Amino acid sequence: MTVGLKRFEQIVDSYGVDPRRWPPDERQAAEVFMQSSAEARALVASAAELDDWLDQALIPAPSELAERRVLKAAPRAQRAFGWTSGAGWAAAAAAGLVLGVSMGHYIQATDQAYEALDQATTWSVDESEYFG
Amino acid sequence: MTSDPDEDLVLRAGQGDPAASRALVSAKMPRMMRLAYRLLGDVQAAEDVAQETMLRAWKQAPSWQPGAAKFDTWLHRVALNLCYDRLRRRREVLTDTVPERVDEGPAPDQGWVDRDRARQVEAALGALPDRQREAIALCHYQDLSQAEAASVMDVSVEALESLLARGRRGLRAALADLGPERTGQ
Repeated sequence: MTVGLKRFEQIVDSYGVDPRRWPPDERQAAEVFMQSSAEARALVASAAELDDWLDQALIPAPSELAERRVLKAAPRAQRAFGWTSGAGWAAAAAAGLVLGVSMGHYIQATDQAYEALDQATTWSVDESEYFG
Repeated sequence: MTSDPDEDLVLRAGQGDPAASRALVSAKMPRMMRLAYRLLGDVQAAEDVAQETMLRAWKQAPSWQPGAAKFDTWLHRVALNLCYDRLRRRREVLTDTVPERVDEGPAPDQGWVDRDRARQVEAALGALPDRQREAIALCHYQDLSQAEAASVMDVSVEALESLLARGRRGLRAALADLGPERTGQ
């Protein structure tokens, strides 16, 4: 690929004077042309001022607070102390046992409560029959 | 297919690797803030856009499909869309508040000269049409390749080149009168 003065001028007009910003497929040819052409070098010297100006623009950075907020929301891995580890299974088994015992007590207590309620209902029915 | 230098970090961040998340935030959040600032001209709004862009990246990371698009290009597209939304909402306000001031007072010290020059460049950039400013932001400040910038802006490389050339011509005209100040005379 070759680059002539017209195309070189278009490249500098659009992308400035830093060859790293020039189109990759034309960069080498444009650099070769610049070495060989005084007009091309004059174009670069003239366009350099604008690149200098652009490089003086402010460069703001995010606050630490904003970065912390973003990091706090980052995806989390499954904890190492999880279902795949032995400790995890042991913890799950222990939790199941406690839950089972609790449920046993709950069911037993519930049964007792229903029994008492049944009795009370029966008594009340008997009483209504008695006073009715 | 072009290799993506961020692919490994994104995949690791998606799996919940805190070091990868930190590395991505360090590398990308300031970059997205720079882009948003160039387009919005407001530090707080730019930070909000950068933050929202990264939050969307976290949603995307666990299911990121390597090869479809570079992560950096995808991030730019997300940030640009967020900027478009804000520009649409406050276009009138933005154009009214762009400072266009040249200090005619006595020669200040170098710090003030630098700050004033920066403000003048900001003002000239802010006065450009949105698409021209966007093209310059992507190619000059974000160092995207022509193909990447054109893809993010959804235009052809030729159209991108035209936007860049017109934008730079506009800037040259706006900054032409400031030449002597630039050299400190």
